[in-house]
Amino acid sequence: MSCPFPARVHRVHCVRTGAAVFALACAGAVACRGKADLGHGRGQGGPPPPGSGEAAGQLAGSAGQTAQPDGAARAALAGPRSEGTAGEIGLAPGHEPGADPNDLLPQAHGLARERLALQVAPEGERWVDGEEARRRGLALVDLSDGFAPAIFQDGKSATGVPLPNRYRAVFVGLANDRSDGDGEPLRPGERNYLELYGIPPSLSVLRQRFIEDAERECGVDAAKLLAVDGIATWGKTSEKKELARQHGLAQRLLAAQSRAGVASLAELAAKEPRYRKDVKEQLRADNERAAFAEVEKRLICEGLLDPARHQPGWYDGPMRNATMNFQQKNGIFAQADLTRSTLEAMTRPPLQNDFLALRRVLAERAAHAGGVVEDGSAVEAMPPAPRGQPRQVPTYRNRAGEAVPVPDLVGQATLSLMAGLGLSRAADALAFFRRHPASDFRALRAAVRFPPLPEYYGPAMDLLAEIDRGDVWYDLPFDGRGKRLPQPRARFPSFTLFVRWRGEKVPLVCWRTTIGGWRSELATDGQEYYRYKESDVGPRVWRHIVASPVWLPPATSPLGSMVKTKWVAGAYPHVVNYDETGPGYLSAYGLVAGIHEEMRRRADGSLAFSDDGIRTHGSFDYLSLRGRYSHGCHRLYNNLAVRLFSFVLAHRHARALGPMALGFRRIFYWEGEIYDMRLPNRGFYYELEPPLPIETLPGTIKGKEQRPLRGYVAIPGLHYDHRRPAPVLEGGKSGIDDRGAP
Amino acid sequence: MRWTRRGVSSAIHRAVGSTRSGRGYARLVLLLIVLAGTRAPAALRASLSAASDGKLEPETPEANPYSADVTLRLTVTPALKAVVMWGGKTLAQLAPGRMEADIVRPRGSGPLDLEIRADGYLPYHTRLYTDRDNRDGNADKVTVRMYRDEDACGLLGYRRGGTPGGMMK
Repeated sequence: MSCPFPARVHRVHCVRTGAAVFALACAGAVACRGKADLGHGRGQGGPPPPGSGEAAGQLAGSAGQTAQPDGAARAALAGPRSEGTAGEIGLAPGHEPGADPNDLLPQAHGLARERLALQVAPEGERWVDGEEARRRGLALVDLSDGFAPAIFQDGKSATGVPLPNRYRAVFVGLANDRSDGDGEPLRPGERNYLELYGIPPSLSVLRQRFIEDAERECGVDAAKLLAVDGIATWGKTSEKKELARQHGLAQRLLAAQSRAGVASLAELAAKEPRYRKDVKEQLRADNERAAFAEVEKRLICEGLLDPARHQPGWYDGPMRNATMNFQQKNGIFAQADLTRSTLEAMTRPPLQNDFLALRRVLAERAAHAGGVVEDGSAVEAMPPAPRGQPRQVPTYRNRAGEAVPVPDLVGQATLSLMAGLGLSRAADALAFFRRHPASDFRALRAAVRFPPLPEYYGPAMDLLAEIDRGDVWYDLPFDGRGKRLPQPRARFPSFTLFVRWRGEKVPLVCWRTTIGGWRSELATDGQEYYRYKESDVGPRVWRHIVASPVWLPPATSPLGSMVKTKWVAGAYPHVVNYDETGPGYLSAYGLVAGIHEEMRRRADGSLAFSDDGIRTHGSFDYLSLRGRYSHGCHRLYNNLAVRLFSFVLAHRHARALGPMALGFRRIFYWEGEIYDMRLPNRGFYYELEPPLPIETLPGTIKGKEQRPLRGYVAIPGLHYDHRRPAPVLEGGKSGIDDRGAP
Repeated sequence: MRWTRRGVSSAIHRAVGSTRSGRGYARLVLLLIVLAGTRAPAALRASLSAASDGKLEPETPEANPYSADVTLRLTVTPALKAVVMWGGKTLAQLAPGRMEADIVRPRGSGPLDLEIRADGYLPYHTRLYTDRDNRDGNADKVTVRMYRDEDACGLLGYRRGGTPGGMMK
């Protein structure tokens, strides 16, 4: 089922209405390629979906356990697929903490702090010469609070002119809980929980969590939390009605119990079968209420819910916010719904959740330090295995011509880093943070040995990407009476990055992505219609990669979405809403985008490029990656998009072009006031030389229609003013307004 | 610059406002003269430039992209008494003869979402960016034209006494 609302509307209509819509939208989620899998799309690379029981603490960018080419690394991080509940979590036996004795360097003296790197020896920590460590082939992992991925680093032009990458400061401010998405200081006590948006917390922020949580004893009843698969929640009005209905049912059953002369509801159901269904519902409701009380207890204990502002027993605004913060803090893929994975995370002691967060953060740092992208997900690019047989493992040819499995380098590097720092358990991490004051994280690097890189690595890898659209439906998603029609998909869209090596296409990663579908759009007659937004098929190239890209809202964007209230210098005025335009993690293009261009050779031999408005980009709308549709673009989780394009820049010939001027201005009227939207630049551009090939495969067309409908389609249930002139189609398409489909 | 039909039409609406009054017609004639010439007005140029094409044009480099402070410039037309608000704070008082405000802010301290208020004019919201400096000629500066209600009818989304939109549910 698609969710036919534009991204912003979707946040209101789909997310806030809760689990039901999302569950429908995501039912049938499958792995990157291959057989249906109702759980997490294995190899997704990002954290798993709600309800899979494995959301929290998924090692970002690591794949599933099926036919794992390099399962050792994953297995060593206990519980990568399911974090479990209250048990201890850490490195598996056999991975002794501390650096390999052969890699230990002598303690350095008299060097500047910036040159030092940390190593853990059997007798304790030591500061060593980072340059010497580098000479010995060790990786220097940036653990400082100033860390930002490579795509956000400043550049220099060919003539040496500095090219400031302005989003870097915002990224660092967000990661450190210092500022908001505009770069303005947070108010006291305010926190950014932006890991799911591609901005992991800094080590200082995690340090603070560990130290605070070490003092907490939440004492929640895990049995009560795990007695339910989830807790139904409603909006304010519905909740009142629903709780009244439950209360009424309880009273009726109590009366029936009294009349029947039985001691319990179970006995009542056994004695009078007509009450069986009601008793079942009542017991479920009782369990949910008991679990709800534990959720409240946990949220209060973690300092996320202020009991003075919350009405016990009610899923009110403060509790909804607290739940959302808990989920985003712990990397749980849900938006305030009390899902099973949320409840499971609440059974774990806070320190265990902190340890899982640390592991995810270190996975990102390790991936960027190692310049690697392989996360074990490449297995999903292989054809599905016959029933009962393991899936074929992706391989590459080594110098001897042997087939070698594509390794999970991110998983291995994370393991090496954690082992090198002596972080086996939550208690180790707590001790580490107690040893190191916050000031240490101003400049902190760890010197560790990463696994050797495969032979296909180099400064100019022969990379290419492929997007498989999976199952594609062009039919209208509803019938003549407006009833929604099912459009099941067994294969979902996938993104695969390959390297051409010794005559073979070797998959490095395979992640879930999105394609276009039926979306609502404001037409030229000022009325809203459905329109099929197609993802172009065929060979294209990435010539430009844009860090912190700006999305230009088409003229058809509803104006209401372009205004918001915001806390500004002591007041809450109306302001232009730049969230979706960016630059920023909430931008419709996410934190980074690769522009798809068609490349042709002119008669004179020169190359011509044309941009059809499609991008592969990060996305704030992380739930959309579970099976919803885009406006034609190919979305990735923000952290994976950042990782992917940082990898591409590191392993292809590329140059920084810097911020590109835009000078966009849109002046509009809204509710008696004038708003002036100004976007001075397009983002920080990089140019790949040569461009990187990317091909979108057609997928499998399902249903009757074999080609997409081009025109507007009336939305069932809406009344249209037919006196207005008919909406204009693409004939008068203005380049800016219709380009860029997020 | 490539002028699109829709862009020009919308720019005319924005720049001229209502053509029902004689003043509107006069402005339209003036605008057409300018359009026919080689240069368009700066604000119009800015509003149309983004609509022109996807060609990349690097930003003019700043003399010192790492300066501690930046100077932003806000210019308001026409000449009138106006107050520039930044959230709950008054940033500047403007008056005829003094319609420019130079605002010095720490570099990268977040954008300034400003509201300009003047008697008889609609409140105007705009934004200035603190991540670039103006002193060497490289933005950020903005010129704002205040609108009376009767001038705003050509603006995108204008609804007299109502809310914009158009979709009927």
